[in-house]
Amino acid sequence: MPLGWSLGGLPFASPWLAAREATKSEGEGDEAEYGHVRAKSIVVLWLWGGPSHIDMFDPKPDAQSTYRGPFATIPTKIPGIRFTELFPKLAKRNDRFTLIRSHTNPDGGHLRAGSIGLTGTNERDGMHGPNFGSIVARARSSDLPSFIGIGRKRLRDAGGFMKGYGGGTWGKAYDPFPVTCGDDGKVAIPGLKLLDGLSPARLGDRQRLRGELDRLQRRGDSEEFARWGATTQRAYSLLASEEGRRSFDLTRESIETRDAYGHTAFGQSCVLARRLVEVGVPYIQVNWSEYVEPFLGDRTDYGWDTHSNNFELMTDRHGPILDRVFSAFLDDLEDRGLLDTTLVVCLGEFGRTPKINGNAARDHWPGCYSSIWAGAGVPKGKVIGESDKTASRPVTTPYPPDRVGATMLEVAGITAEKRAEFRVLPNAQVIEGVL
Amino acid sequence: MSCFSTLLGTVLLVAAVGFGVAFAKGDSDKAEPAPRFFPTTRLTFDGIFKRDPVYTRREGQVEIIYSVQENSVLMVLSRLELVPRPTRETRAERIHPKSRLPEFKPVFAKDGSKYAFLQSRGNQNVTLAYREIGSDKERHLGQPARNPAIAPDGGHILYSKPGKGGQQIVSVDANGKDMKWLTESPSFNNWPAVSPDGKRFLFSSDREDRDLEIWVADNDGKNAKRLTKSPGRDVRASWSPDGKRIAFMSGRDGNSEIYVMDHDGKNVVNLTSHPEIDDYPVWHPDGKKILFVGERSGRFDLYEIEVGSGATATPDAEVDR
Repeated sequence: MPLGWSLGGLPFASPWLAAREATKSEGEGDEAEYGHVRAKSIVVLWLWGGPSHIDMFDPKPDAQSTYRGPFATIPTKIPGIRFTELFPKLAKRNDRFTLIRSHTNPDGGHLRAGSIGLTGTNERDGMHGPNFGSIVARARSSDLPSFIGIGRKRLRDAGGFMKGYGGGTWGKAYDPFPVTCGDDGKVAIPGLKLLDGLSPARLGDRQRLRGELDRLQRRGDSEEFARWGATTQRAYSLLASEEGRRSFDLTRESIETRDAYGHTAFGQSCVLARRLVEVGVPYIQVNWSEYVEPFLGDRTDYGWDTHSNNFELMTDRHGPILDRVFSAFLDDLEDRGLLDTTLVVCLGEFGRTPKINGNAARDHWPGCYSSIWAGAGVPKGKVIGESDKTASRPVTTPYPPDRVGATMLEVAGITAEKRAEFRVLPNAQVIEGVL
Repeated sequence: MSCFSTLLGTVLLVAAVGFGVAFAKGDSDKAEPAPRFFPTTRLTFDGIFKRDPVYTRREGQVEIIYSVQENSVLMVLSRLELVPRPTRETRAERIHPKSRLPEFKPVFAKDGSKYAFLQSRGNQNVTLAYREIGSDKERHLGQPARNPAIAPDGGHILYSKPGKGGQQIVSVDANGKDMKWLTESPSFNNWPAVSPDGKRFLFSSDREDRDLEIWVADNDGKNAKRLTKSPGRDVRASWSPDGKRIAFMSGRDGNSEIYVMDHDGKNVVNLTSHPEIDDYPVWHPDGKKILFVGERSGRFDLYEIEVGSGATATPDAEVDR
């Protein structure tokens, strides 16, 4: 059942909101300024590392074995469209979403391609433009943080961090508000760490919180206040909201719903994402992993960068978990009447080599990959774009990341005119057929 | 609650997670008419992501070793004792408590004295490791390595590795020497399992079909013969202790289920028919039970399904949470 919360007045002033109100430009955050807002919320399921499109939603069963891979294909709800056998649940639901099979990314390295994938921009002077979520957050402020990133830590690979995950040229104020969620559904909010001993489990301790705020205000300690940074200030705004506290508490969710998503970190993170949709958070990015690498020396983060063990990981873990979680997410949003006003986009930064590599796996392949779009009026049961007989290149119009961003923003009511005003993705066209 | 009532409750509450609709595919195409039910017992209760269970023996007792997600970024090998029968209060213990490396896919020699497993030792570096019980000494036999199997005497280890235009089954001795290519087809060959007499091995391959089927070959790789032919993957084959039957996971009905068949591929029977995933089957040393990982209500636990005592009607009870 929908919780039906409304975002009422805050019990006390939120420093972050106050700061945002003071600095935003005329008309910013005012929906009257924007186009038709079909998506009140956007949820990006970010499959970090480059999922193998040919082993998922663009299989080529008639290709040579050196391309095809070992998985069988299965029919879907759309005649003539097949997925690999690893996705039986999504195969029964593709009459509810649009599949795009002709994406391209101009870069083949994770950090750059990921940044391009999430910003639609190339690096310039060491920086990228703002994340799509940052743009939505600027345009659509909410009582809660407007761009929430659910995942362990900042996106990275073994060599460093991805630059395009946050506000980029707009600054850290537009970074995602980070939240972690484990397979047990326990939520941690790193921005709260500056408040000693205050954990999400104690968010209800208003007296303590008020005391902390009073202490800081009394001290007038501008240095300490400045040290917080935007993230901490947003954590305060979260703390100030009863709805915010409840939305992060998965113990309030029915066990049946949590079971449906499955008790994996990605599954419970998507439960959290749905709860955040319910309270009106405009943009949520759920990260599959922190690292792209499935295996590192001291960790198994199980990213999608399957240079080795591609077929084992796909069948043992990645396929079954994604199939279950994404299917449950779509069902849940639909059952609660949220799918019509929520855009869900599932993708990674690129695909993987259609030709199987010397390691009996697949390497990076920015030349062609897929994404899934659902909700917010996106056509149901549609396939946009087509790849060649080995899924190596699009044979129809290619859709690079800036078009992904333009389309998401358009669905959020942020039109080309508004993008021009914001100086973001000025020339990007939307993807025909999604709108 | 007494130990007896706890045990009884456990058995009754979790009695059956699946029932099997027996049917045959592949070489024999006869369908059996009536559903058959197989009593099933739940052995773990934490629901945490786990896989790769195997039986082994320690000090005369049969126990289970499996890999489990200890925290968000670490898979570890854990031991579950079966005497007394596990309950909710039972806690598995790590077999390498000092290790900080992710470890998975354990396989044990018949007497439990030697074992191999996979260890993540660096970026994309998954290594075949080998140990003897009672020794902290660890040998690293080769990498990249995938899905090891071990000969009954522990003297040879089979595993899957890239090569020869695909992914092949190879064998090495306990020092990682004397490597032999047991398959050389330019195809995907994986999930080896050595027969109880050490003379043959099972594996999965897509060499003839456009999906994975189970094959058997002599221990030198010759005389390879396909045992299954079905839509969907047939993988993770496991020999019964007498070598007469084979358990495996199949996706032939559109979902991952546990099946058994005769050693020649005939008389295929579905043991589980649950809408969630059943996988990683291995045969108990007594030949009467099969251990597997069942996903129930989105949680992952170990289950034992009885197959040796004949079909017994048991309701498909909701599993205990």
